Amino acid sequence: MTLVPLPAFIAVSATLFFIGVAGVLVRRNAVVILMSVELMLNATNLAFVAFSRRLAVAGERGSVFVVFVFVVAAAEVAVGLAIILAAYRNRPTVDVDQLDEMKG
Amino acid sequence: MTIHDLLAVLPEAIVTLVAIVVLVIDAGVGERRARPWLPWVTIVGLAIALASQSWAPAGGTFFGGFVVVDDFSRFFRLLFIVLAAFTVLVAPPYLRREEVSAGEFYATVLFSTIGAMTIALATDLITLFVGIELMSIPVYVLAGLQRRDRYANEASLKYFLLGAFSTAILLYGFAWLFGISGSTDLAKIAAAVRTAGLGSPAVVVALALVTTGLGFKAAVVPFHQWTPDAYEGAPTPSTAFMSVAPKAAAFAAILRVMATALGPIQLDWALVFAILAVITMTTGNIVALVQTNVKRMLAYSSIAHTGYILAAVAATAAGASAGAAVLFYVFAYGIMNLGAFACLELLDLEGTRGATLDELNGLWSRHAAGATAFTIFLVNLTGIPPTVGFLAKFLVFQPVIDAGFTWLAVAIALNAAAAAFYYLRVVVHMFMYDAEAAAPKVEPARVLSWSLGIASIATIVLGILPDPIYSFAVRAAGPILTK
Repeated sequence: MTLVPLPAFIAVSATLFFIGVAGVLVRRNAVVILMSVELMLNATNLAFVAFSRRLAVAGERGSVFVVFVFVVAAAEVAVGLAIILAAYRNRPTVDVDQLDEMKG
Repeated sequence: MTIHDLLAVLPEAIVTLVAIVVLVIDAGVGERRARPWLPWVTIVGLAIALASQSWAPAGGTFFGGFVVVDDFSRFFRLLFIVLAAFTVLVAPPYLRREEVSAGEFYATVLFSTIGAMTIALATDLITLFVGIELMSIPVYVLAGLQRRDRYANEASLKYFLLGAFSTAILLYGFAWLFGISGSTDLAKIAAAVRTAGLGSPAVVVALALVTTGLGFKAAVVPFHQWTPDAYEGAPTPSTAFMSVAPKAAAFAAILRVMATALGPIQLDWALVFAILAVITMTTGNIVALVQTNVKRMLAYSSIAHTGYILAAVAATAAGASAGAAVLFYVFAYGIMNLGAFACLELLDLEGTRGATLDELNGLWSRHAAGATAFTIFLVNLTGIPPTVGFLAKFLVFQPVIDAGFTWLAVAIALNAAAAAFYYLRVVVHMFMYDAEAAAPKVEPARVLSWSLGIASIATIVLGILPDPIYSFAVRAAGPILTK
């Protein structure tokens, strides 16, 4: 059985990353934007793990990095959902285009 | 991990402890009774954290190469502790008036400060990433701390979404740096980047992603769109902190990553940074010219200042003098910009709104000390001698010219001249016009006035006698830019 080559992992990772970027730029629902950011972070995790396992020079720090990304992303989502909820209580919408009190 | 490692990060540990103590006191004693003395607990804690450096072991790397204590990290420790203390001193009247929980505010400021200090300690991408997030996440909370205010909601939501987006971009850049070098250590990445050179597409991808990610954090045009809304809508004491500490921390990260890890291709990214610097300062200044709300004007002005600092970053080929210019500018900017935003706290305005130019009419006759302090901060931001703001700009010129960017130096001079118009217009409104009948009430806060007075005098003293800070900045730039 042959191993899946490293470029295949990187291609999947890059695809996930660009789907995430497109999601942030195109979608207007704050929760969906947050999901798209999470997709970008997962693309990063995949790249880290793939590099860490397959590069001859790479150490284990890439896998360690992924654990830190998990933890920090969880904290970020907790704060982010709280912020979205606080905004929703004052004005029942999560559409970022309708949050336009400030201009100039 | 040894006791030696723990002692090396003693200041960070003490600030963490103070933040927890503030939260516990706030919850245990009760909001109302704790409110008057929580700022003083925080200030004393910060002072102990700063003093505790003398018990720490001399510099070196700790935690198996994850953390480095050098003059660079000591410089930023001093800066961030000063900024946190200043924020805490000026915040209480506003927090009381708008019924923002004081304990939560001080603790959140402290948590963000720890993250900022961690960034300055980083020699490894993991430490750097954790530091950036530890600094950013509390700041999203600070922006939205006034939960019932629609502007604050909008500010924190926009700041959060773009902040998270930029973190993800930066992190993907880190993944590519890891892919190039197989290491998260900045020095090892530098070695791998030197071998690969700009001919390797992976290096170009990593460079583009990291520049974009850090550009968002420092509010570099064209990644600045979140800045005016986040600064305007956030509660004013939060804005004061947000506009200085995260920006200083972003530049600490930029110096660590760009000058260390990507240092071997400095000549290639320097031109990009120089162009971004011109676009940033020009856009910031032009849009600031047409603002009538002073808070929003100061937000755009902070973008312009990012441009000046970025110019010094672009000039790192000139060696330690460029690094010292960045550090000195960041320090000066921290005090003068925090002071300018804090002056808006003197006025009793509803919600998070900043004063319009007309509402500042005749402030001189209503609160002479406040108007004087505000004037001094604005003169600093303009860059008129003998203030520290002038000296900071002046120090940027030499390295920029040494690095061969004469056109960039010309752009800085032209921008500084144009910026004088909108800064001094505020002064004209405060001194030349009569107060309107419906002018907002002036806050009779003594600690706030004293802090502003001392800070504004400090900017002049530092403008005349810059040596303690400047020589510190030169030493701090040494470990980053000696090649």
